[in-house]
Amino acid sequence: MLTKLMRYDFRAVLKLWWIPAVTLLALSPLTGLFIYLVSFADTNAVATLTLTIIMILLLLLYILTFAAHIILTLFFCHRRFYCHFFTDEGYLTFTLPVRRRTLLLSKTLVTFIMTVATVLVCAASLALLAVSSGYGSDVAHWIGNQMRSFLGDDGFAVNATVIIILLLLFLLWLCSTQFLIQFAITLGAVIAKKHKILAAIGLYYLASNVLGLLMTLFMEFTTVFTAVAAVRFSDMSTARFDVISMLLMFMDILFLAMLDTILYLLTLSSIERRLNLA
Amino acid sequence: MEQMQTEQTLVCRNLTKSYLRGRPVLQNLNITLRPGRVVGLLGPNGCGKSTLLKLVSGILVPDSGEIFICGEPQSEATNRFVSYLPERTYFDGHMVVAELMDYFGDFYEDFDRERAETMLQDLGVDRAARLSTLSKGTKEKVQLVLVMSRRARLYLLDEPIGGVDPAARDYILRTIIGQYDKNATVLITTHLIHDVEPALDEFAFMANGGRILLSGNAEAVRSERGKSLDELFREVFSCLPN
Repeated sequence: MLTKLMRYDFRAVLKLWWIPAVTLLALSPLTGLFIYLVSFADTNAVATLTLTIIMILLLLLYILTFAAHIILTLFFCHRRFYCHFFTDEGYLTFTLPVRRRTLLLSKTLVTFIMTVATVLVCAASLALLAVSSGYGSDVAHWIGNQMRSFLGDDGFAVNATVIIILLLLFLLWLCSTQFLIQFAITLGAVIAKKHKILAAIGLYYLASNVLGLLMTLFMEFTTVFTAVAAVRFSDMSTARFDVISMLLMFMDILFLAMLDTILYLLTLSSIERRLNLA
Repeated sequence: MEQMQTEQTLVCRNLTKSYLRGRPVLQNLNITLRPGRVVGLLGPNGCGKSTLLKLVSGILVPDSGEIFICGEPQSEATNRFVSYLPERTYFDGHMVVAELMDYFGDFYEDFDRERAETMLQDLGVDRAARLSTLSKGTKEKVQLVLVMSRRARLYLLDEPIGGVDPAARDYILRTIIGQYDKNATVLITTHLIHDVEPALDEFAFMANGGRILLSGNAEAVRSERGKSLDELFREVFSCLPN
């Protein structure tokens, strides 16, 4: 049943998702080409001004499409979540011979996969932009430098672990953003009779501020802890210090994983027990 | 007792339901439906007819009480026995009628696609039409056709003919409700008692608070009291001052 549900959810989201994705990918080399032309054009020529104007307009369009792609993905996925669970369409959703946890899991997996796909499309479009504008090698060099300065030169094993941890943190952050939206929509629909979306938006901002504060405090705590450890144990070996840093990052992962689990279970519990379609 | 529950299509025991900050819509309601019967659940607005159907279909969660469908406690699993038609349009407007048939076919093992195709053709509904482009009445026809094309054990029809034209109404009553599986039970709520009356085997008059005022065999009422259900309903729920 999960596969069937996901198939319909994917089909519904993809029906519109591909439009901003393809637009963004098509705009990247075009914008890059104009950046390239302007960079190497004669600065005094009148044609350069025209090229510059076109480049600026294209760049503006690219940035807008980039933002729209992310926003629309979230909108398409969460609109489906909202409509299928909390509007009249719920009369069909909840009379299917499918467990409610399977219904939620389907929406969650599809949203997560589509979000990751959006991130990949955005990354691909940036790479295309960099390559087509002639700054590909410069950007690659800059990223390499940044990575080296962040990770250090302590050997491949440590660096690979740190990269995996960072990737995991990023994915968990994506999950928490998604779960927070789902939780706000669910709670908004449960507590509000008429203005469910307004209630959901209000709750989202409230919850994200509270959680943001908690996250900041937690991150600050880990940073301060690392700094204190560095001063206190100045004779500590680099390897041991790396291990402590990684442990702290693991704590961050644990914190995010706990947060995600709590938000998911609260949403599931509301859908299973508190849902009352009027 | 257990065997009796299995034999009945629907058993509701001491069912109570109230909405937020309100008094109970249903209070200690008990109702039992046998297989092979078309039952009319009739009552004034707000007496809890739709609420009962929503509770049985799992849309709402009861405050207390028990619901058994074909011997099993109500859950997502019992949805395979129940075909529910709400009183509103509830399909995704972006879907095409044929896609909806695929959807029903994928999720309900008892969905009879051939039957659905025939009924849609008889009612003049285009399979390739997008739901959002159809009129309210046509949408209701599509919903009714899909719901009645399942070989379910229990049909819950909330105002099934309220929004359709009189010609389609006759077709629906004759062809759809009249030709349902003889082992199934159909529970209909409607205000169009006069239209539905010929299709009913049994009836239950429900008053505010979900109390069953009167129930029994529809034919017996007509022969013993010399009144149609419509007339009896008007008499029981008369709003005119004496």
